[in-house]
Amino acid sequence: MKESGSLGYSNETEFEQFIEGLRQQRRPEWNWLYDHFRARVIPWLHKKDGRLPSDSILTVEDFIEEAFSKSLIRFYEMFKEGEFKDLGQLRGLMFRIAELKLKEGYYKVKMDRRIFFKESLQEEGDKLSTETSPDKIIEQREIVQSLEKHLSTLPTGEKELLMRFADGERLKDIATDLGIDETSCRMRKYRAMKKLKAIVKKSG
Amino acid sequence: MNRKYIEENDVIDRYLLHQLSEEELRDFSLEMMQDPSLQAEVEEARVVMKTLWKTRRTKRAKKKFRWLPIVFIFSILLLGLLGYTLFQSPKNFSIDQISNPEENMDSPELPTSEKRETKLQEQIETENENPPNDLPAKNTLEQQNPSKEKKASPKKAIAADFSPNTLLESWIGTGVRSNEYSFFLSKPVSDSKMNRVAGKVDFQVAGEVESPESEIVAYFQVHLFSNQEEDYKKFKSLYSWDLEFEEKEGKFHFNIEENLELEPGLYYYLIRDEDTGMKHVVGKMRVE
Repeated sequence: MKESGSLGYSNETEFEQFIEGLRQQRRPEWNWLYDHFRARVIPWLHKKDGRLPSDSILTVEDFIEEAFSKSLIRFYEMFKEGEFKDLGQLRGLMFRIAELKLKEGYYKVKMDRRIFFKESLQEEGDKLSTETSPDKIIEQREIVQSLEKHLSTLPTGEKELLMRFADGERLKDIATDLGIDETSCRMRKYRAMKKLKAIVKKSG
Repeated sequence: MNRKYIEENDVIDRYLLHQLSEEELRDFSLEMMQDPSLQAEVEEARVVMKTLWKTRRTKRAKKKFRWLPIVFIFSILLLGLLGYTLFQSPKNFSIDQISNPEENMDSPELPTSEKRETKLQEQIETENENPPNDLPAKNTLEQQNPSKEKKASPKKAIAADFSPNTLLESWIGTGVRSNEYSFFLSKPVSDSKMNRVAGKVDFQVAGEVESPESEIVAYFQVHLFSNQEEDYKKFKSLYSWDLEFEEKEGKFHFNIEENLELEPGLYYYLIRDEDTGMKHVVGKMRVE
């Protein structure tokens, strides 16, 4: 991603003006900082990556994007509380957070394997009992099971629509294959996703 | 980017599918950064998407391995054929040949039915010479020497020599580390010598793990292998134990102590993450 255009001043020499712009939630300053971070942190995360298990649900791209977005959220929380003297300090904070979020990401991948790939809670009962806090895993697993149960009740066409959409296929192509127009395909997908999200929301 | 735009343009789902333009991605990311309710919505959608990805992948895996039953049936048939061919080997073939004695004139070594009958008769006679009341005496002898009885266990006689297992040697001391867990082993010291006392060895695996998280969710096991490469290839360990952790001052301690009956030889121990198959510690020890 290209870094966004000039701010009309040098944020290196006029850092106070820059940080004031960030504090004032001015979009050009935030756009600049976002592009600045993205151009540096994403390649760095890619370099650090390489340990995703082969059976991970996430692709490397998903994993990196999630780590970056969570880093940015945490950065914003800490930015609101902190004092910064130059751009280097902001960048340093973002990299430290990114490193932590990367570790958290690996931990989540491991949790996901337990949440998504253990068919029976009883099978894992002994293993879970040795963990200090299996409640969260059990809770998450129940949500996934509710989603799977709902998915299994969907008509074949609707299920196929969702699967292909999740696969990244264009709705236009899916609509053609299912013999429906794009608008109704979009509507069906919207309703089905809404229902699934409601299940998560209700369980969460 | 406002809420209306996000909803109308399916931005959350497209974000998770990496379908946003650069500008949309930046706007959405900055919006999400400031809005906890939007963060929560993205997380909900992420769970849904992951479930769909998982279902899709399971379906694909099923499709991918649809031919497996055919291969299985074919293998059974092949095994059956092989078994039948073996059954036709010279040793057993003799039974058929017995029915045609004329064809066996040049095969004096093959037992005839008469010889077999004689053998059977001899067997019966031998059994009669050793009446059942000999048996208690035999049992008493075995009870007096219990170690002999234990040696019969196939598990314990595997490590017969000190030749290295090249498959495991390369892992020793490489300090297999993940981003999540770092193992520090205090016992055993790798390449240490252990002496047997009454055929047994005190085996202890102790140490600590550093984890960035407040708990260890991974499932670790300690495995003890002989030096036989075939065993490691089949992951047929002599012993395996679940690793349990006790938290003390932010570190996770573990300790396994066992008194094992081991033959002299070279052994390898390893700590493995059972979910990922990742080896975290590999070491060896000599039992003398």
